[in-house]
Amino acid sequence: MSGEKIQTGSYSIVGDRKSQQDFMQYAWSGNTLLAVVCDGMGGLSGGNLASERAVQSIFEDFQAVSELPENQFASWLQSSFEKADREVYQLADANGVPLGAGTTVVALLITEGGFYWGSVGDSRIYILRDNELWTVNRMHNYNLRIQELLDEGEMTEEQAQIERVKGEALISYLGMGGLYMSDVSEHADMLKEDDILILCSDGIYKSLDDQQIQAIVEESGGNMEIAARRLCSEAHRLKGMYQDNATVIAIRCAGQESKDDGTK
Amino acid sequence: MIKCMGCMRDYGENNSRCPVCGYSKEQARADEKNFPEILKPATILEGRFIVGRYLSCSDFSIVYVAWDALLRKRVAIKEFFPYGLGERGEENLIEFESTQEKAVFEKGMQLFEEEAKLLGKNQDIKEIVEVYRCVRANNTSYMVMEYMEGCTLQDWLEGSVRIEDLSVNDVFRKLMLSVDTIHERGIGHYNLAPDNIYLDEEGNVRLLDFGFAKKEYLKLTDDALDLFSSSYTAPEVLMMEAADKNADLYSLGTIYYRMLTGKDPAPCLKRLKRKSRLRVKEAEHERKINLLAEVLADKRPESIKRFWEMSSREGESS
Repeated sequence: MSGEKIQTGSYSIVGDRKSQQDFMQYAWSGNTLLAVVCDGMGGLSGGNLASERAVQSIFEDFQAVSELPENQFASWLQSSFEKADREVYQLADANGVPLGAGTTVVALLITEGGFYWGSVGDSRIYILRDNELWTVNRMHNYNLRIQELLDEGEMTEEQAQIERVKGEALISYLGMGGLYMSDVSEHADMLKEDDILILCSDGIYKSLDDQQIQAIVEESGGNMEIAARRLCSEAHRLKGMYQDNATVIAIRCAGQESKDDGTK
Repeated sequence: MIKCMGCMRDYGENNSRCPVCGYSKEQARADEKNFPEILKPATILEGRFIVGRYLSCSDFSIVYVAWDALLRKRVAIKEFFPYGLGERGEENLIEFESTQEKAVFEKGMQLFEEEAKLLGKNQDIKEIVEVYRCVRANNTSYMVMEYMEGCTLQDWLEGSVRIEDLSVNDVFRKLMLSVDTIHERGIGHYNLAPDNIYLDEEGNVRLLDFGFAKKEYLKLTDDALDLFSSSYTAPEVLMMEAADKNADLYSLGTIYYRMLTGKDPAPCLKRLKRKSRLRVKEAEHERKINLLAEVLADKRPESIKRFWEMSSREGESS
């Protein structure tokens, strides 16, 4: 996959919150694109410091990635998450008191051989291919644990129903001081022409269902700037009130046509 | 609650008509009587779009207000249904008398969808109405678009709508800039006229009802369809000759004439025959109008930028 075939767009809204605790970045190094979305949590300014620190930490070593053999990309993602986790964990205020902040992360590395992804927490990566949309990563929240207990026969459906009230509570995130759970793709997934990858914070998918996300992206004329902006604005419009911070990076494998429509 | 099929707002069941737009069952029956070819209000497309009242009918298509039940918003839907080809049959299906008729219809539909695709890809141009997708149903195609709030240039010129602090020269300058923007992208409009130029609530120009599908469709049929305005369309478009984007300059000149005089200009083919100039009070305006609305395409400036150069040069020398 070379740079000129990839079209990108991004957008972020504060929503009805007082501050922006999401942070995102995407950049090229040679023929490799790295895109990262983090959704911070923690009182005062802890959440935004955590998400910003995590993104910076992951990008610090990015220049070295393009020189790595592709079979090391997955382990690079994993180690960059571990480093970011330590750095977020060590965040402290002026008096040295730990902030106790954390952040989710979803990351994509797109290379000649396809794409690698990684995730900690409950931000999402979607793929839209051939009119079908699906989520790539698991949500590291209590619902996942409930499902595991159900599958193992350790919990009844009645108990699960009671427990699901707190099902969205995160069980893994960066800043715990040791990753409890992380998912990184082991092999490159191939990208097909017209594939669209969406990285987003929960402010998107808690306001829009999958059908709405698919329609908004498909109806943006293949323009990722428009897709990202509309996902955020439609999430806010359809949610009505109490819209969370929402952040999107949208990436399209545009093929040859992209050269004359403003792509990288 | 009842969803009004006239404006897609919800209102209480005790009302016999929509308290906002006044639409009622009687109005729906009258519309159906006047335009039997229109879709019945509340027709559902693709399980998602609830089609409401028709907004306009032309020899090429019918435009309706509609409700997007998935994204819960009002949209406009344009149905490809050219005059003289096919008839509305049972269950809204468009039916054809012959395979030949059907073949012409389908070629036209392909042009209609190509236009939708091109406009859809250019949604970043804020001067163009947003086109989201095409839906196939009832043996035809439906273009789903942004519902435009505001008024047509014609409404504004006739004084039925007022927009604060907006002068004729402001609007014309914005119109020129809008058309220049689409030309820079390689897109011609070919169908500019006061009734398909929109002004939003802030007075910004939005372009809709493009004519490149119509222009090509005209070549497919022998019928003398009234697809274009004879007063505002360049002669080469009406005569089905190869037309370049500078056909839009002809429309801009004639629209400016209308804006200054309040009158429709003479039909372009009549002007072509007589080589007649358009007359207005001020010489400077008249010069600009006739530079733009030159009947011969090869004597007309090839672009808006070229027109600006020529008109400023002529302005200096006079």
